[in-house]
Amino acid sequence: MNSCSDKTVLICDDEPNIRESIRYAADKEGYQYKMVEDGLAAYETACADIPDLVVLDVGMPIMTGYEVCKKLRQHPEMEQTKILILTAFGQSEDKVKAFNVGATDFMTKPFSPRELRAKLNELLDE
Amino acid sequence: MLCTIPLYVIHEAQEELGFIFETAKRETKVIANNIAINSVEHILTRDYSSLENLLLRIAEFPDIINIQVSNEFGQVLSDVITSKDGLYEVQPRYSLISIKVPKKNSYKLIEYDEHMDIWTPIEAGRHIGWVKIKYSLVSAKKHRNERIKDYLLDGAILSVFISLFLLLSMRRPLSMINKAVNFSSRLDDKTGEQLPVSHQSIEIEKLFKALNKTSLSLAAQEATIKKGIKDLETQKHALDEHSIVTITDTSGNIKYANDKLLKMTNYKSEELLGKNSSILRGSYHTEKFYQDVQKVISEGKSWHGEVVCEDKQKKRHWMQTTIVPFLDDKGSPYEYVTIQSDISAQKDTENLLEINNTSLELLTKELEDKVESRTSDLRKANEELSELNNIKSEFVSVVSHELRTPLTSIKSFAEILEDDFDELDSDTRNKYLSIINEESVRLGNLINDVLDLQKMDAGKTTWNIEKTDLKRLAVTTIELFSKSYADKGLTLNLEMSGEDLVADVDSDRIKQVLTNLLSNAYKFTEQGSVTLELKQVIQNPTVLIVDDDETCLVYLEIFLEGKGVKFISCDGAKKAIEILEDKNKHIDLLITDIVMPDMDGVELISYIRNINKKLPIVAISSSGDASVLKSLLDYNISSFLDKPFHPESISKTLNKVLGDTEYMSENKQMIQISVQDSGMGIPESELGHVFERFHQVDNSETREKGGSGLGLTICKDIIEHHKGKLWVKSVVGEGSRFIFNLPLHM
Repeated sequence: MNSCSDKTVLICDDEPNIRESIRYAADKEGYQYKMVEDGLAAYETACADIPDLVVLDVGMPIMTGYEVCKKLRQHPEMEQTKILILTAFGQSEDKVKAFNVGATDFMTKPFSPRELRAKLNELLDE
Repeated sequence: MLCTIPLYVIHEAQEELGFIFETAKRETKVIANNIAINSVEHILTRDYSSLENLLLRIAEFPDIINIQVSNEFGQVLSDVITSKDGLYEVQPRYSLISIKVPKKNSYKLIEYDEHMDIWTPIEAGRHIGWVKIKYSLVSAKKHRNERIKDYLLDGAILSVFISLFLLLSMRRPLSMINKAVNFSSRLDDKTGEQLPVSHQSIEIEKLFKALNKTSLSLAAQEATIKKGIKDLETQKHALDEHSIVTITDTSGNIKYANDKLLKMTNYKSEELLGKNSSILRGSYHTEKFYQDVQKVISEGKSWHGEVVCEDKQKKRHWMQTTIVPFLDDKGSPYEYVTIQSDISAQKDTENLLEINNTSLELLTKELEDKVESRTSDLRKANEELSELNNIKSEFVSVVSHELRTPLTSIKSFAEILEDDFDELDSDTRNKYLSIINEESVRLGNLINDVLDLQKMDAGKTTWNIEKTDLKRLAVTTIELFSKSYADKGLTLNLEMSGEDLVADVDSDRIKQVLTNLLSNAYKFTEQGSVTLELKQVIQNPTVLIVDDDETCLVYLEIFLEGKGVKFISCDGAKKAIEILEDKNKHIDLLITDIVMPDMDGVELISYIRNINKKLPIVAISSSGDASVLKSLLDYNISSFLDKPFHPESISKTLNKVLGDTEYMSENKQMIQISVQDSGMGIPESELGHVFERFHQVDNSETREKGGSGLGLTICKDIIEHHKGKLWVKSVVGEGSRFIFNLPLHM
């Protein structure tokens, strides 16, 4: 485990195994993390905690990742929050859509945990 | 007396002038007619040189000053002027000179001081021109004036001598006058003959001269007429040779019919002459048609057109027809000449052509329609294809998404294990390895399901349909789940009724459906039980209700009506037997009361069992009399219904016998299989979508259950391939029930 950071990551994915693999990456890089299973929980938790990074799956129950991202961007305290969208839909129009709703970055599934860790550091280290 | 002589002479001279005028008019009219007849050909052929020769010949007649032939608009075609020295001057042919022609298309005479103009129309089936003759009246008038002067000057002297002279000379003039009278009476047949003019008294001489002139003029006329008649006869012959000719009077009575008409109509001459021409009409044309024709010709105009005539045998002939009215001096028709040609053959050809054209048009139309419908079919097929293509690409997109999900886990944990194997404790390692394993299985299943569905969609699935004991199939399938259910603390029940449940099915596929439904029930049920039920059900049943209590009957009727079940009700057992024995009425279920006045239910049931061992029977029991119920058990009763009725208990009882009745098929006998769980249930809004591809009820709980999202779609396809039906009923919080019907035979 790397040195502890006070940066917080909110992990949102409805697939428990994928959630675990993201958690593993965040944990290994020493970030604080929280995990939720659906879009609504993601939004509510983000609004309460104001994390430094939100990792969002797209195809989630109740609210999709896009919807969550759009709503988070409207929150006054979350203009600077980094949002990483992770999706199994990997077409270029999906990326465009992600950036249109205010995502900071984009990764397609299946992803490499190494790459994800590098991405987490890139987004949180400035 | 003597004074009266000059007056007498003047009177005589006037009379003579009148006579001369009349003669001149007649003569000129004949000449004009002659020109009119003979110029037709020249005008039609535009042979103006021959026309001119004709006019020059005619101009030789005395006192004719000018002859003009013009077309119907008055444009002069030929113009011959007689000058005083007897030379003829010919105006430029077809000059641009136009003369004003009479308005009315008929003979016209206009008298002036010194001349008269005579107009005669030129006709050739229609009006084509005018002959105008300018006739000098100078010589006639001069002649009269000289006479009057002579007598007035010599009157006195003459008067003196007149008496003597009369006596002496009257005899000779009288004989001369007699001679002249005799001569004039001979003029009828001896035209051209001349009287000796010399050595006569002046008046006699003049009389003789006048008579001579008349005789000459008559001779000329006769020659013209003879030639005219000859020409006419030739023309008539030509016409008769070529055409069917009929002449009728103004009332339509036939005055003349040529041989060609007789030949065509098969009438004899005497059968037609004097008869009205309507004898040839037939029924083809309307009365109005003939009225219209009559209107045209009675106005003096020619009519052209096609007319259908009927011959003596009522055979129709199409006739190309021209009717020309012959006009009198006043321009009114006095008879009609009809000239016709039989164009039936041509008409037949036309008709044939028209029929051919029509059928060709029809064929073309048909072809066009076919092309259009084919095009529309193709367009539709294209649309369907394009829609299918959309579905397919959407499917591919969804499948790729669904495949990426397990792959993501596999890749992630494989990489983590590769990178951090030594750092991880053995529990975590094992946990991650089993994730990889689970997700690989999930990926494999998903791929299998996708391929399975794809194969079924493409019709490439091999079906192994054979007689299958579904009871045994159910038992073997249940066995596969008993351990996992027991581990989760769930009760797994199997309920089967009926003797044997055998149907023609693909046993592997039905097992696949059962496995899928039981596995879903397992996943979504946290506590309670899951029941697999198999029974034979009657589809579209007719139920016979027997009860002497009207309130009970009405209650059951309303209940069955609400379920859409057909029923017959009666209030006594004897009536019930009548209905059951009626071969036209097929009863599938009997619901009968036990206590009835005429014959009780037990008796009825025992009677029925003698004739029909299998008819499902539901007995209504009110008293709960144990001995009665016990006696009924021997009769293989399906169920009991307790009084007073409770909707739920009726529903349950009937359901047991009839099965779920939401979907009824044509088949009377079906096997109904259902899986009832006590899980979370499916919200109503989702019920319609559960069989859609990749549809999962959207909450995180279902997500955790895994599954491809294709299982129910595949189940539905399998059941529908068996001509069955799969559907679901669910109450949120209480559980779901997946039901399918299978026909005994496919």
